[in-house]
Amino acid sequence: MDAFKTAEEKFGTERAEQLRRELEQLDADLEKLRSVPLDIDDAP
Amino acid sequence: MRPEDFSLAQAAALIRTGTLSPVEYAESLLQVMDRIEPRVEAWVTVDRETVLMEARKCESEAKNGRFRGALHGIPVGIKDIFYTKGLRTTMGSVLFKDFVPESDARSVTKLREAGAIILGKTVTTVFANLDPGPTRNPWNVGHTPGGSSSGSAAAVAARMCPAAIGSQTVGSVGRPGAFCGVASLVAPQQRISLQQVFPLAWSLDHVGVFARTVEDIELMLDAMAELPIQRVSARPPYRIGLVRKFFYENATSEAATLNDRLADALAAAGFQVEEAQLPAIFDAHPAILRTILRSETASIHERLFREHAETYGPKLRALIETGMLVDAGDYVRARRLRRRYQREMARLFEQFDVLMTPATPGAAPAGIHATGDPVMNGPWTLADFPTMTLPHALSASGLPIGVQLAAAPLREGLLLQVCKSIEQVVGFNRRPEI
Repeated sequence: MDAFKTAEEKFGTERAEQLRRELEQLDADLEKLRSVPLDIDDAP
Repeated sequence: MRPEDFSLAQAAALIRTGTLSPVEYAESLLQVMDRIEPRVEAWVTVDRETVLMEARKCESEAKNGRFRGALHGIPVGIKDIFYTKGLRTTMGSVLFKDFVPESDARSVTKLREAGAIILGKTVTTVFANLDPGPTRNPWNVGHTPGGSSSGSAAAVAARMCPAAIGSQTVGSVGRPGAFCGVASLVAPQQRISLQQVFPLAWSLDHVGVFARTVEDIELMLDAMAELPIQRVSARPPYRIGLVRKFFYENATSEAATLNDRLADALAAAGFQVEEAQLPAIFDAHPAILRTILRSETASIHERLFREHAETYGPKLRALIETGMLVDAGDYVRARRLRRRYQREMARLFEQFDVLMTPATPGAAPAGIHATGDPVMNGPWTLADFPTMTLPHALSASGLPIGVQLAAAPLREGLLLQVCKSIEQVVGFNRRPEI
């Protein structure tokens, strides 16, 4: 996911720019989550 | 000894023997409040008439040998996200400035049933997130008391009440407890009800307690517990797992050195202290925590934010907006990873009774524009470990430094026992000169 692009569509470019640091952290977090393999028994 | 200097246990015992009048006790605390509150700003709402009326009732009952419970006649502070019947509850937000609940939070009901008097509502950061309230640290009013349970920690430290309750979603009990030099406990979610506590993130929120001794924490916990605490017969030597990885990387050299010094003192006193090695999944904990937090906070504030976005502070606004971008698949993934994280982290307790880390990166930072970094507390909140912080030293700048101790899920009995022993070794008897 490109959080900045999604934020731009949702909140506008100005707001997305203000949120740039948080959006970069969001992208990094989601990438981290997706990098850890899960088993079928890993229920929420 | 002045009444405000009594621990909760001391005051409760003196009330029981008729030596301490609940009315005089409440009046003493209100006088302390009059003197100190202008400089600390720990309270949002205090209804003096009701407090004294309740104190008179408790006194009359005590004279007739009737005691409601272990907290009979004890005034306590309640963080302003816990609903209190007939007493304004603001969540730290202008949107709720006139909100008066019609019922108590379940945990408040249990405190009343135990005989506690609700002294007042303590300051919370806005909706219990990071946008700060006005509270100042009683040790140095130029410093933050931490948050989001800012008022509860500060009020106990400043002797305005012997105990208070708060909540933790990442670090909102352990951090202010340590910054304010008081003991704190974060209970597991199953232990104390969150019913009618305004949420920040449902699956991360926990009820917490502030007091000046472990014994006092125990009395408050017993009063609020939905499940009885299992008392343990574990004998010393207690096994302490000292966690340096990640925690020392995020600590000041002063905090790390003081933590090591405490570990050495505990080892010399007969505790078994060894370094604990964290499982690989620990590295994912910030991503898991933040994803759950963002998503749930965004959901909780969906309607309010849509209608009143202009009233939201910058930090909460950013949290909600990034939460709106997390899709269901990623949220579920985070929840699945959390369960695995909890399982793998809990295995540490096969080797240790408690895990020991610094409670905060360092002493309370200067300024009240921010409430400090919850980096040390988040790992245990995510794991749902019962966690205590205890003050054990002063920094070079004269501010308290805390140690954080976590136990296996639902093992508060063991945690309290170990912490009582640590408390005796530490012997921290300093207080803010305010």
